[in-house]
Amino acid sequence: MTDAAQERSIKLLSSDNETFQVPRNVIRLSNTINTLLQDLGLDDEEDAGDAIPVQNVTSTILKKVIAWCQHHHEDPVAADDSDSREKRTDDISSWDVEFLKVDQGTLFELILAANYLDIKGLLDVSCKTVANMIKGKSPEEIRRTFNIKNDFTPEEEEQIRKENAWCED
Amino acid sequence: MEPAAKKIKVEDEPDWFDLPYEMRRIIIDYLDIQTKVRFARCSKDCYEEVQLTKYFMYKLTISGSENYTLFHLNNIWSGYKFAISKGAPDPILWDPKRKTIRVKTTEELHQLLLLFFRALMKISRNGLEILEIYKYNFPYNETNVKMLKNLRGIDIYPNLDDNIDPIRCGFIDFEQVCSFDFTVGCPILTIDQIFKIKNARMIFIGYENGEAIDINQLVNRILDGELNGNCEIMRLKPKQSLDTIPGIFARREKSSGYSQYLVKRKDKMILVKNNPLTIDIHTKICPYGINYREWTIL
Repeated sequence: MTDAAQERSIKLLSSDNETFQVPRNVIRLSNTINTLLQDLGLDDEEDAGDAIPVQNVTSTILKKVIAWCQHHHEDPVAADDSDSREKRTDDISSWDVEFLKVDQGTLFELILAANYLDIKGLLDVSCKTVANMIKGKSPEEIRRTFNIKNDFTPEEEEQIRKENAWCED
Repeated sequence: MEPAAKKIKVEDEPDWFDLPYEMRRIIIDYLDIQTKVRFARCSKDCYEEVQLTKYFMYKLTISGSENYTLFHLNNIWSGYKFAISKGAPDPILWDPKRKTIRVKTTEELHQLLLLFFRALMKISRNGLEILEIYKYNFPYNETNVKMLKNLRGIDIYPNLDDNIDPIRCGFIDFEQVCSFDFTVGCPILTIDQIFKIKNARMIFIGYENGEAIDINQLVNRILDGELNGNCEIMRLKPKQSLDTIPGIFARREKSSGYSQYLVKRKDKMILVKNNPLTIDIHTKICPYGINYREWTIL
């Protein structure tokens, strides 16, 4: 990417019609935006024109997404994930831990936004955070946390508990 | 652009199922196996989602002492374990009574471990989740894990036979590994004897009075609740027709060209697998462990 390209910025329009000016080299973490600009032939333009509508991402969430990209845009590109790679959740940076100390609704919105904008790093770290919220909880606590309705009969529940007793040690 | 993101309702804490399926799968993949199990117990939908993640299927624990290594492999349907001892004084490598394979040197132990893991990797493919490996000779460290991972895809060879040194011959598949511990006798059991066996998870079934034991009779007796022991798999050889099995309610065709059937009566369900050379009856199937989308209901 040229210096000029790095200095350029683009405008994003949230679902509640707030416009955000974002440096191009920051929002490059979004594959969705990258693809869109390339498809429209705007990637090399000095002025990308009108604001790009980011549907269903509110200004509150978009602001956070941009903040995350701002902090991480100079991170080295992560190695390709493979199935054999260990699935760890204890490797979240302290900045991300603080960043993701939000209510559950916001966290879920961030996951959806990261998925929609195809920002892999944010998606990974926010999903890991939800996984960490599940870890260490009993089934009843998990149900309460995520509003899951228990539709097992007591007999079925007992059967499942027995089936899986081996790994509860 | 991709489809629009779904809007989460934020007036209350959002539900788990407000997240799209793909996101839920990513999160579940990050859970360790104990947490997956606890999550599976939350509801039927949760159970099914966890079942769909391959990583759920196996737990391998290796433990032991100075003189033996104990392998303990579990999946949701069953548990298997067998021991490998080190430094046994006699040259016998496989002791069916004690259910142990003896090796004399650390090198042999390592070689056997290699074969064992090859077999596991081959069968479980990506499904093997190694949770704990603690063993004096085989620490769970980067080198050993790398070695295990490198085993995937290497061909291994069979010819497992009582007369062949198991260290040199290798294992053809996981069930043969398991069968060291749990296969009962040779296939000359009568049908009444089969239903009296208490402590075998896998029973090989063959002939009764020169005739192959009738699969329909086996299925009926299992569904009638006559099976009181621990048997989880009955393996029949020679093969016989599955078309007449009573109570088949679903079928699926595997890419290998072989069919599988679900047979249900009241709260009991069994799975009948048509293998290339044998037929397996899985006797203890939980209906909630089945992903019915893969099946054609008859």
